[in-house]
Amino acid sequence: MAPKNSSWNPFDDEKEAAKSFSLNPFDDDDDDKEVEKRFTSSLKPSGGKENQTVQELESYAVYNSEETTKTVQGCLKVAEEIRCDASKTLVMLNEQGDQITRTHQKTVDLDHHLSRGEKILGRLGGVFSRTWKPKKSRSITGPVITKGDSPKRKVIDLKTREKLGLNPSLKPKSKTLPEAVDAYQKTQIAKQDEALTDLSALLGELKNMAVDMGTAIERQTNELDHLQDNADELNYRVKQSNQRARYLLRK
Amino acid sequence: MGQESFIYSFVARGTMILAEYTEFTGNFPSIAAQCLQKLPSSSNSKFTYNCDHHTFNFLVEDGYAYCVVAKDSLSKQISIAFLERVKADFKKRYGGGKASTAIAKSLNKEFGPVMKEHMNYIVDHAEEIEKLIKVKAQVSEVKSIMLENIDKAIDRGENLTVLTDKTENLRSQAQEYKKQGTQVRRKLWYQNMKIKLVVLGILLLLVLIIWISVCHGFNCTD
Repeated sequence: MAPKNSSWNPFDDEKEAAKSFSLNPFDDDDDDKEVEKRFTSSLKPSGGKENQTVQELESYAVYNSEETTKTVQGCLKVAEEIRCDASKTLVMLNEQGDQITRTHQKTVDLDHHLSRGEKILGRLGGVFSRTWKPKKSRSITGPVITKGDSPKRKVIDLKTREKLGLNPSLKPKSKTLPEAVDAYQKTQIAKQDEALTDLSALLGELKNMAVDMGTAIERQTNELDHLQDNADELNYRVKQSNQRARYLLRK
Repeated sequence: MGQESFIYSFVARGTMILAEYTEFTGNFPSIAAQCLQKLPSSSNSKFTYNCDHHTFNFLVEDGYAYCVVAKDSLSKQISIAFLERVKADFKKRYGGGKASTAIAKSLNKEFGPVMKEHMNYIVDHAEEIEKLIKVKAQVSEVKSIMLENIDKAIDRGENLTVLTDKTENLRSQAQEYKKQGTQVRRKLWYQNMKIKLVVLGILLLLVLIIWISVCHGFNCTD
């Protein structure tokens, strides 16, 4: 994309500059890096924007607006990827929550079986020996069911979202470009505005998902605390039962 | 939003105003100067003072204070956005050391029009700027929530590690319990068998005794 005339002078008259600088702002095939190099090399040495021709400045403005549009749309794409990952994380957290609940339920079953074992161990030990009763420091509680929305509620598949109008799919980029640079700029700004609105909506959704994640993690942490207490209690009681069994074996 | 949204602006080094710009007359420069005297110069932060339906917004960074007086109808974010632009431009122009040696109001002629330009730009593009500020705020909000979540997840991870140790301990205890239970069962089975055999032996002995006493010996033919 280098100028045709290698001895291009920014102080030449506009016609000359236009001849030497044949950049079409509406060319889609141009290599971005070359374009950028062309703009930066043409703007910096010549003393900034003041000494550029109108056409050059327009081209530069078009290039910048295109770059901005690309950047904003890139942000939107990143946000969508994050949303996708967040959905997966929420599903995973939900599954882990279920696992913790199942584990908690298992501790209750263990308690039930252990109580039966303790009764049997208590009855053993001879006719005249005292009935053995295990010490219990606390009762074992089942999984805590908390009120509140399940994190699953946020994980709706994208097609459903589009049907509900929650996730308007991005419109395909229009290839037909207006003739006037001003009109083109306006379409670029409209695109940027639209992308920013979508981004804002996505960020709102991400915030809700993040809050849900926090709630799920907190709930699981609380349940893990209960589970730890249950594990401690079961440990203590199994130890006692082991001591009783050892005593019975020694007799 | 009219052109009258921004009233007065200045850039100061410490408490010395290097450049200022206004299109209005009033006592706001003296009030702003008073506020400047009270600013903690050491910290890099933002301050806002309200006075008579006007906001005095300050941005302090690296010993330089950037101020703008605006109508209180103008959002604080817009004023801060203006100050950020002025700061960036000021640093770009005078970052080389010119600002550190400049005397009071010596940069008025150079930097005054620049501040005017920024004022006009901000007022003209207030809607877009507000939209961007909103998005930025949303991003930082999501970021802060996620950082909290990371802390929570770390705590949860620690809890899980502790729980793993406890359940591992419980598993070994349970295995021991199972082993001892089997041994107790075996022992009791042997005891039970022993008792049964003893009882059976006694019964056989009784039968034998009865047999002998009835038959007067082992030969039991009449």
